[in-house]
Amino acid sequence: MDTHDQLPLTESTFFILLSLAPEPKHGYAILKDVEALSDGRLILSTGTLYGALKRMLDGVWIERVPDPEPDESNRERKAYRLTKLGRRILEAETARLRRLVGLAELQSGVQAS
Amino acid sequence: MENKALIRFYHLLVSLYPAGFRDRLGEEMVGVFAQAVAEARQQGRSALAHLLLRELLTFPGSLLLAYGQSWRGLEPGVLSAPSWLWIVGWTLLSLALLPLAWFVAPPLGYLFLRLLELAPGPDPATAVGTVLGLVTALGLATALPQWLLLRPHLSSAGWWLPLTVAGWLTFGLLALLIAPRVNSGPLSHGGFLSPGLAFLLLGACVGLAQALLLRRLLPQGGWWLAAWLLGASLQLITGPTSESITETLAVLTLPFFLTGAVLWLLLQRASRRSAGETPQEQPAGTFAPRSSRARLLPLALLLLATLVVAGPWAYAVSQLELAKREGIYATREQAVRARAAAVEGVEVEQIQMVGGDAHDPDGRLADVWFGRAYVTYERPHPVTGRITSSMGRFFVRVEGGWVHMSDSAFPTLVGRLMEIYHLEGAGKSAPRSNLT
Repeated sequence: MDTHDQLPLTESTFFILLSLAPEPKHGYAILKDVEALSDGRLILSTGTLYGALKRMLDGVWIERVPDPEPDESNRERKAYRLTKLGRRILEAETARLRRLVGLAELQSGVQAS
Repeated sequence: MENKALIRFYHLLVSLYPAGFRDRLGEEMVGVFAQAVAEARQQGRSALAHLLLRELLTFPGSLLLAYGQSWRGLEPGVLSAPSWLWIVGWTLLSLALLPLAWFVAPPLGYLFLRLLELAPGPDPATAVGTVLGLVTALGLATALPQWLLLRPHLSSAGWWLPLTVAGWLTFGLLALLIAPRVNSGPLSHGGFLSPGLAFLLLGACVGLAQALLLRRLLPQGGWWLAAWLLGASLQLITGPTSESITETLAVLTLPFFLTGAVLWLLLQRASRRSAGETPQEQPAGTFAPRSSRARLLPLALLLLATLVVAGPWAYAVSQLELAKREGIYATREQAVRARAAAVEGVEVEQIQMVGGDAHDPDGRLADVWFGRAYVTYERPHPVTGRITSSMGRFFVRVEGGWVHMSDSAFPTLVGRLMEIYHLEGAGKSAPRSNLT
């Protein structure tokens, strides 16, 4: 599958992939991480998060693995981990955004800090 | 609201997701929501309100997206083959709820009117709302029992409901577009489409909508559309009108019997085919809507009680609103004259009003009246051949005057409901039983 066919990603998809880049996380951790990564600008609802996770699971961008930090309430919980495809898509989107920023800097003469 | 109640409510919302989605992720969603609620509650009421608002506002969109995904991922799935008795059940149950549609249609029609009024453009005619309400009610009345019959035998049968209603709605919209263009000749009947044309159009619309699902779930499911068209065209064989009750029943029963038989055959074939294949491993379901049924029972009873109380109220209010849109007249007599002028285009010579009930013998306070207008034509009436005629109609008192209400709206029932719910009028309802 050509990763470029999947681009550009929606903001929520990008932040979810970004959140999973360092390590597998369970749903609630992703929710909080996305909020922190976006400086509180993007707060996902549970429905939006799981709709995106389902699409990514179906596309094999992510996979479900046993949760490394089991829930205290004993409720069944899984963590999500990026697959090779998911990581390639995240890298491709990051490269695309980097090119855009570079282009913007070049045109406007403004250097990103 | 306590955490437990909020979580139970969210569990109910999650149970509305497509089966594949909620079985795979539903339990986890509820867990994440529970964690979010617990944390928001620690932060205060405002945080909790924000969380709930966010979840509720994004819920319809998330649900639609989930159903869109589910539709794209639909795969053939026959769970079991029904016995031949299933055809009988299909035929009878498809008809069983049709009378109820008559009472559900006015509130839906009024809702459609209000929605259409929000759109830019000229005011929609009351008839548009009435037709759309009726077809939606008929779609629900046929789809609901059919869905219950399909559920044990076909996976993803939940799609049957929205697709059937969409098919009926398409039929209603097309009928409204076509009817003014065929307002004379054999394709027209009483200002609407002739029964033959209407049934064919209905068969095409509903059959196509349902075939979209069946052709994805069953091999050769496309035959469904042919079955519907054949069933609908039986109307052409029986003739343009259904004067006897036997004929009417046959007209209504035969299409459902035929489509039921075709669906039974398709299910049998698909079941035999899937029996020869290696069974696929089903993903273990973690979300348990069935086990939660007992917990949802009080909620279901509450919903039922609300429907019993609010249903008749909605029926009466919507009938009154629909009637008011046709005109409000200062007096009963003016209403009778206006109605006679609209229907017959002639002046009224004499009016007789009959009203009142046992508690109000002289009828001064009655809200529902039967008005009879006596008219004389300039030349003999083309249908009856008579020079004089009298026409009786029901008129109902509302705030600001009187409105005409057609017999099919059951005005006396509306009057009783006005009394019960203290709606409009002066609080007394029915006319005398002897309306002569």
